[in-house]
Amino acid sequence: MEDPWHEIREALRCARPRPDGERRSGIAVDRVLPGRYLSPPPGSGYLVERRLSIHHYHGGRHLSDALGQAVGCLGVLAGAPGLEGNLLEELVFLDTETTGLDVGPGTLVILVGTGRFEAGGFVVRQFFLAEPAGERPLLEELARHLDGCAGLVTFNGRHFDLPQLESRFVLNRLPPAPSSLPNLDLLPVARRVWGLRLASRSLASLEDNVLGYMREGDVPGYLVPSLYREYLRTGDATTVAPVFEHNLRDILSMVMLVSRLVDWCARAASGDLPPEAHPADVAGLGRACEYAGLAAAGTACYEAALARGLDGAPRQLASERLARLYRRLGMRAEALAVWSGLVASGQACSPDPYIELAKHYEHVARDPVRACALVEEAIVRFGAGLSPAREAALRHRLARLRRRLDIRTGPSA
Amino acid sequence: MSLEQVLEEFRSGKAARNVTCWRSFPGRPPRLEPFPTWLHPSLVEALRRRGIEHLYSHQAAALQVVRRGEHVVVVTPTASGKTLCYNIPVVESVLRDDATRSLYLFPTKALSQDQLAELEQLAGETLRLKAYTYDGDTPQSARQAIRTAGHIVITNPDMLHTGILPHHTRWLRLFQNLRYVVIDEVHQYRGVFGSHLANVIRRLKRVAHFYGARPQFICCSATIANPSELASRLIEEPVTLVDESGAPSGERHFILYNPPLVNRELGIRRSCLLEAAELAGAFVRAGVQTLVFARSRLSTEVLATYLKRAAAGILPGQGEATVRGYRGGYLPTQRREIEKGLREGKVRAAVATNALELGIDIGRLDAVVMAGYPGSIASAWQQAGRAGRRTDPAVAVLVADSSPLNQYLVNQPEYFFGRSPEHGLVNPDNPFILANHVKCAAFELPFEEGEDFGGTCVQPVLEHLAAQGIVHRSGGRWHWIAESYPAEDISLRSASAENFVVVDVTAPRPRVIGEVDRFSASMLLHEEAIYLHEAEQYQVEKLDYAEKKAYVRKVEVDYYTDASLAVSIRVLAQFQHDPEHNLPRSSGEVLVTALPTMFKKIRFGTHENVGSGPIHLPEEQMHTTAYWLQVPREVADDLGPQALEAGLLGLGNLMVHIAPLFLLCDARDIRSVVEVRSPFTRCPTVYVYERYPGGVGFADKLFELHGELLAACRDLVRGCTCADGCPSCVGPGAEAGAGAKQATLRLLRTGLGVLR
Ligand SMILES: [Zn+2]
Repeated sequence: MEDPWHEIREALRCARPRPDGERRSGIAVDRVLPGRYLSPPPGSGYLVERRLSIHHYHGGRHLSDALGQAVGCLGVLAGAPGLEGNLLEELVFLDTETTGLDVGPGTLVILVGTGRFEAGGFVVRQFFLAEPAGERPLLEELARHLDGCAGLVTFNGRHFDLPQLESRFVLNRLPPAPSSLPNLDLLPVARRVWGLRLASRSLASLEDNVLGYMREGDVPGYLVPSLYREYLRTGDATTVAPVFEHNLRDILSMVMLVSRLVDWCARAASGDLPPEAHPADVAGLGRACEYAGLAAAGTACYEAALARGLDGAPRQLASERLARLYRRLGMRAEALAVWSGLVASGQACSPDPYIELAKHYEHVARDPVRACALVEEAIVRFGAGLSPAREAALRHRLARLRRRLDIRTGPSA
Repeated sequence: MSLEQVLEEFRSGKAARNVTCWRSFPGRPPRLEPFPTWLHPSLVEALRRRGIEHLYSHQAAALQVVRRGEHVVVVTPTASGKTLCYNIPVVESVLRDDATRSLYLFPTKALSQDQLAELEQLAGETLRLKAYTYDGDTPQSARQAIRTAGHIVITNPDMLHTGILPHHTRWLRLFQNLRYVVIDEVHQYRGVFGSHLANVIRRLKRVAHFYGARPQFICCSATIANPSELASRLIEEPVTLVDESGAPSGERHFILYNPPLVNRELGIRRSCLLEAAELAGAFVRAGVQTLVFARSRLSTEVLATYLKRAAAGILPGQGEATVRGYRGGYLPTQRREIEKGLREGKVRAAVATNALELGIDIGRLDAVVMAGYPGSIASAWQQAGRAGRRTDPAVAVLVADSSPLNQYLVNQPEYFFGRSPEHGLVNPDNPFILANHVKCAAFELPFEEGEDFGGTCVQPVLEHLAAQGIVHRSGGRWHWIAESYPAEDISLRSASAENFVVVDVTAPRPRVIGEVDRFSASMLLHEEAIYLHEAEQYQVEKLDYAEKKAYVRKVEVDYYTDASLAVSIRVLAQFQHDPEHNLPRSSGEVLVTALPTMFKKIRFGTHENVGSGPIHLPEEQMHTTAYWLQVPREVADDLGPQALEAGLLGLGNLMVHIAPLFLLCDARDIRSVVEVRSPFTRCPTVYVYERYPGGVGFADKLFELHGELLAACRDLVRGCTCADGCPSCVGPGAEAGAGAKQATLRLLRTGLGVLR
């Protein structure tokens, strides 16, 4: 039996002071990546700055494509409506690397990467925790850097990067600067837009399937914590150099992704999306617009997706949503046409088209026999798969319709 | 028939012969004090609305101590209004400053719910008070609001350990403004659980200090020997004791009852369950509202069936509705319905397991019958406290079973009615427990160079963690750099992390119902073992030793299992030694090697051996602490080899059974082993060792109590009527060996004789 008793007991009884910080012989970070210490080493933060040309090409676009683009209705879709009027070059792209995926005081933020357009170029700054003791000067420098910026662009920042940073600021008794900024979080929007087509909506999957960009020689994110521990153990910064690269690519991909999303969102209202947009993505954009309350843009996207030959389950889903939007916009005739089409082709994927049609036949067309038949069919087709409450509601509707029929035709025997 | 008449009949009846002690406590009027003038007028008004016009003297005293800024522990009987001792200062602090926050800790979720209801009633519609429970059942959607807006967060130690402290940056508001920490049922936090809690409190204080808060602790405890010592060991600060109850009570009777002997030679008595059933039946037939406590689920069923029959045709409403079982496995709605029935008097009798012991509100009854000693005097008083209204008389009867401790207590009533002998012990510096919490603490906040942890130097532990790549020293601080969440892997109920999981496969979907530490697994989880959980019995069907999993299934049997071990013990270090004694005593650190050999099935109540089987499991080793006494060579020579061995075994057996009287522990928490010639002492030696790795302080306390322990053992053996050993004293004659009783007595007399 392995037993820590003796080791620990000995340790507890004969506490002996040791010299601070064991000398490590590895290659220091300033010899691997050019940059500057934010406080005197050891125990310091380290800042690496890289200026990229505005013509840098990444993920099917040039960085310059993002210049002059206004956030526009993407701000609404991403839950940051305050940013609608801002240009992308007024925002800071932010991505962090950490020692763990859980948000908690024991998780260190080891690298904060920011990117922003500056004086004819794109500058990526990477704040590296060269020693955990350097956290406070690092965070202070980061806060200064973010001071005055209009907002942030992140990928899952709402639930990951910003709470992680907030926790670090609190632990260093600093006001949590990044959390007070508006945040354009691309993850929830990306989920809706590309969710109908892609099983995984990770940044890597979006790069591959949307931006057409394959990472080569990239270190997978899950290895970052152990690489950092290895670096701390040996002091050899070549171990963590790939993490800087990984972080840089994340930031560049975010720029390309947001640029594309802004472009698409601007065209959503007219349904005029670029040819490279897959019909399922167009429907996905419609869904994102619908969630954000932009009914007209949602309608236009669904119509465009159907017109582009969307098929399979996404087609039925888009049709049903489109009909619901028509109804909300008061376009009854259009809604009825979609519902009738779904019922006639037997392709409805929920009982809703049947019920909506039944309501129409009962109250408007005054044809309770047809209404009754529709509800019966809905029960046969969907009854078993529904929640008990919904099924009961359907049966209740049917019973009410049958009573009406009895009254009109008199007791039938 | 009134209770007095029933008692009068009982006193003159046949059963009275079996009463070993009958104590009557006269009724007592309340000692009242006016509300202090400084109390917030809205709070006074809220109390008046609830019909409270005065404070009892102990409540007023507690308020004064709290107001002076001291930590306090309040010790008062069941249902004496102790909750006001903390609710008043806490609510007052919120009324004075809305930002104030407080944390309540209860050992169980059910108690947390009760407290929430009580606070809500006190607040009523008028006081702006937000109190919430926060535990595993709290929906994710509600958590954010609780973290930021809750004035009072009611939780349990496990949730504080895994759900709050490791996320403290999200609990900023709570920790910045933490004014009071309330710890109720302090006596429950002893042994391993208490040693863990003391470390959780160290972490709590450390995090609170980080945010600039120094909370004041308000603790409540049942009566034990050392409430203020236990409380101050837990919070590691001086604590002021308030222990004079000003609550009123009616006249009360406490009866100790020993079932008659059916075989004097072998020391076998009538079943304690049957005797308890007959006594309770008499109460129920007379219309006296009665609560019966049994120790297992099966016993509750047997007793409930008996009482339903006894009540049939006599009570209105018939048996089903008027006599109810009440135990751990019942659904919350069922339990609440029974509690309500008891409060309203519709349920005339209930048979409960210990589930009812902890403060659940059922109102007060007329009679309590305990079928067997509930394991500690503190528990017995808590159970007895269920009987007794403000003015009417009440009675509690303790029916003994055949175990040595039961027999000792009914025959030595001064232990029961005198000052409590039971010490609640914790050892926050148990190296295993400490090391685990240092990890959690390092995760929560970096340790500073030279920073201690509750006064204990932990720098070397941190160096050890650094060597494993778990923490990293940088700029004079130790930073957590591992990916894991340490708290999630650490159970507050066991000392080491290497636990066996107990999986219940009774239902189609298996579920984990418990954990057992590695050393105990071979004793408690061997195949065919009976495993007890919330007073339900489970039989082990399969033990997957490699995977550390035991698969169990619900059963109902009338026995428990007891594993025999071939134990060898090696002394690693002697901490204390007293050679001046006739039986020189020592305590220290030992390595115990145990090979399980076979198990016995032992019938409840009578403690008869009703079967056995082999155990095939590898041997286990454990580092722990022990207390031992050695027999001088001349005494040994005088006894002769055979009697010596019988005496050593008898003495070891006795000490393990009697020790819980002083230690507030379970008989399974300690074990004994004897050596006819110890390589360490070079004499015949009896060791009593702790069953948890690292120990929690039992061994040191036994060393200290040596004389009292031996005296209690002697009184028990001397008072036993058996011929040569029985289950109620040194063990059945056949087991310890012939002459065990006399040899044990001889050793005890030596130990208690004039000092050399
Ligand atoms: Zn005996």
